[in-house]
Amino acid sequence: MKFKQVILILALILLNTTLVLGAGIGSNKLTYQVEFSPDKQVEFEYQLITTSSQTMDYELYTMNEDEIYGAPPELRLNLTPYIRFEPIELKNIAPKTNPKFKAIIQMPESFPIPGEHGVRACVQEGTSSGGMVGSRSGACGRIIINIPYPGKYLIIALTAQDTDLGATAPVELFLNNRGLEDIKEITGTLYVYDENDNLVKTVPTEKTSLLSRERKTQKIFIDTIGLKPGEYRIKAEIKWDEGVEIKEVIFKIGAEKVELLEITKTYQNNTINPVEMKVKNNWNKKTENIYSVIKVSDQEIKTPTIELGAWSEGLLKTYWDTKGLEIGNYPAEITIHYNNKQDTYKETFTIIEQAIEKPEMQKIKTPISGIMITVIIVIIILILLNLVLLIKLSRRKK
Amino acid sequence: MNGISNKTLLILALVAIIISLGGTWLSLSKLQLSGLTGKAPAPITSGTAQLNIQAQAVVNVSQPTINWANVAVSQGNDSCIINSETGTSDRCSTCSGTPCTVADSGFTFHNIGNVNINVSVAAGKSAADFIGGTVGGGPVYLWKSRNLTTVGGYAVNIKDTYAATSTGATLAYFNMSPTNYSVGQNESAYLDLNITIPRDAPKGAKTDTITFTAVETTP
Repeated sequence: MKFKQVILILALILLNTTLVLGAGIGSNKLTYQVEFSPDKQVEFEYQLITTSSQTMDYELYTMNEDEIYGAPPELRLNLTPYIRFEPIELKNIAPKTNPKFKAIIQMPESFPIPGEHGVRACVQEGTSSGGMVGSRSGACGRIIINIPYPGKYLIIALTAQDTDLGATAPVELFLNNRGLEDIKEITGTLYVYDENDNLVKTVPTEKTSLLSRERKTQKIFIDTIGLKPGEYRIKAEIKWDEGVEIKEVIFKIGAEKVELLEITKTYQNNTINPVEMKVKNNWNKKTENIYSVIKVSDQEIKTPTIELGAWSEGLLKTYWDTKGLEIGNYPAEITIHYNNKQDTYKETFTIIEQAIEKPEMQKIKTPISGIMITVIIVIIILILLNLVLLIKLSRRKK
Repeated sequence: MNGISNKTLLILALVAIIISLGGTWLSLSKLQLSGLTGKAPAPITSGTAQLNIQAQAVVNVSQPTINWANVAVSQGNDSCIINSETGTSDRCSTCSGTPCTVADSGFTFHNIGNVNINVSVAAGKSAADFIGGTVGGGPVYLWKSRNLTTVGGYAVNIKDTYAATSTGATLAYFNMSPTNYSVGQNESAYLDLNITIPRDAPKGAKTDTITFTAVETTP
């Protein structure tokens, strides 16, 4: 094979190779939170992640998050003019070189709109994959700037984790002063209500204060002594310098129990019927070795074993052979086994007559015979002849 | 005799020795050693190991082009429709590319970084700029995102039904999990295109570029 032919074949192989494109961004964090400080300069270092097999240019650009998220125009703050890149462009980047670049924010003396405002530092491939509709990819890092509010501005968040009987329910109270002035005193109480809205516990929060732009987290543990498994609501009433704030959160107290929610109750006679059981794990942990044994009509049928995650539902399935059993009701004893525990339920299974689908009578289409086709053709020809004659007659009359 | 003579071998050996000596001298001078003393330095009794694991948001487009190749509206029709999801063409006299006949020929994208990402898409051109023409309701340039495999995320906004493409960033997939090779989990999705070409669309090569952008899902 000649050299030129080899080169041509290699070129064709390269041209036919499907390009796998992808570009991304890497950094210590991909979402940075920064407190506003007048005239402050903050640098964020990123790394371009390339997956392309081609040397190409990459574009650096910024995006205004207030616009992306559709903030009302009066609350929009465009931070893109305050951000610049170093270097300003990424040219001729070879595969796997992954160069670093910086996004530098130069904050002004003040911003006109307080609150949380975001800007994105992005990089994307400068070349498309080609074709009729090609693609290119890129990625962005998020930079959120917290601009303080005038005066005192308290932000409260409340979270609670599910727990089990005998353990404590961990609750977290987040306090954040986004204002320019200090908050002198914050006190509060957590009220715990059961599913019937009865107050079952009262827990005070720690008395505290917050400097301007200070954040604090209080961890509070609610014991489950005297409480039953179920869903509970915590209402946090937080008193501070400028009023009272209410926050609510739901948590569950679980018990090591797998509950039978639903079971197939009607079966057909003289056949093998599927038996399905919907079960729920009411525990705040994974439960293993869940299976069921059903005693019915002198038969003992068992399901395969499954496992269920915390608070999740699943299906246990087996089969019941009703051959030789009469139509009627049969008492059934269903035992759900899990870990080393078991719960027994009593149900009544009903056997009904097997529904046999009767085949429907179908109309048979009469085939068109050759004689019929000939007759139809003759009729069409005669009609056409008549039409021609009529037209000729009408012309002679004229 | 065609072999190398002893004289040539001697010259080659000398050249090799000179090069290796020069290399050693250069290496030592670069290391800026003050000299070999023969005494071992005091043993280091403690040290700090630092490991910084970088967060990476990387969207990979593994099926990066849709190439319908030669397309023409069939005679007696005002427009023809081509669809990368179904791999079909309707009212087209010709449609020679693979996506004309093969279903699921849309863009395929997935997350090869190490954080969950939201993926936005943006078209480079409007329907008028990309396709052109006015007959039969004019050009139509639609897209739709749909799951290929799901782990924790899902297609959003432009899912279920085809929507007009936009040159602005449009969120197409929310909370896409990173590819977990050890578990064999690879969350991936399609971006399908559905295009209507009017009979009077300007002839010639038509191209556009769809940009896929990844942003970390808010932690």
